[in-house]
Amino acid sequence: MTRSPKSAEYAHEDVHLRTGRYSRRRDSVNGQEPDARFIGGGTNLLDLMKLQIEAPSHLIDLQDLKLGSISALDSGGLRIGALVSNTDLASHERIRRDYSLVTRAIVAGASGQLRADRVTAWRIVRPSIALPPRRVLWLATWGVTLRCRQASTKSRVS
Amino acid sequence: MALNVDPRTTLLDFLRDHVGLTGTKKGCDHGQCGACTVLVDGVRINACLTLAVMHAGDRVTTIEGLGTPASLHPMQAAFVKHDRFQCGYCTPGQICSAIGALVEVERNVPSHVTDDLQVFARPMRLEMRERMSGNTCRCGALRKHS
Repeated sequence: MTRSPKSAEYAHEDVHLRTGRYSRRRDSVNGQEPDARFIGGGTNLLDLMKLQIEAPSHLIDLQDLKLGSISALDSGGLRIGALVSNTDLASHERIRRDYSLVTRAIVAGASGQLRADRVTAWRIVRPSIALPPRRVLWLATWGVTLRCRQASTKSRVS
Repeated sequence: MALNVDPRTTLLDFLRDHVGLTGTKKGCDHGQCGACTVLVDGVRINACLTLAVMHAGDRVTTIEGLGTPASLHPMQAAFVKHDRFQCGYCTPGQICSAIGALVEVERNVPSHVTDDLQVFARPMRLEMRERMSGNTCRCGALRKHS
């Protein structure tokens, strides 16, 4: 990893965060930066950065992208924006009524504080999944689509 | 308030080291103990797992912003009345978290122990015990927190 003066280690007690650049995106992201990481809420990435398991040279904050809503599809399903928080997703009226397993799974994990700050796409953008940043952003942009077919439900990441 | 900080500064370190609001505590620094719980636009989060720069423009409420010794927030007064702390280290996070939990109940946010997802959960003892499970206490005052 190339180190510039701005990306020198920052030490506070036993915490080392090796990153020098932070930027917020309001539109698409072009190009690839091998050492860049997208950040949604940060509950996973910052945890790993403090342990130096992740050491990005550039943090790209996605929170300004308009991916924070849940919308109904003409086919009867739902499209869930990648930046919808776990709490908002679990408490959404349609999710609770028609996809209650999603609600149950979400509230069974973490804590109220973590669920409020963690985004839906954390399972896609989290660093433990090795994906090129462009594919990660493509997945994050589309979020999750839940399709409902009459008596049965099928969920997939689109 | 406008301050220039290193983008790697967590919201927790920003509050404590740069703004001087030391009421919010650092326990585990990894989002497990809840001692760093603050309210961001009314929503409870762990300040240790977010960066200060990510909250530019947000309204952050710490324990200092809830009340004063002369004018306690109702939740602070309740903690005093029901003897809900010993050393007090986890207490600021507990109070902020409890306020955030009640807001979630009002917003019809379910919990792991919510029986019927279609019905508004009432802040009963079992619900509050579950919703406060993100805040730990070493002093043994935890039983009274719910």
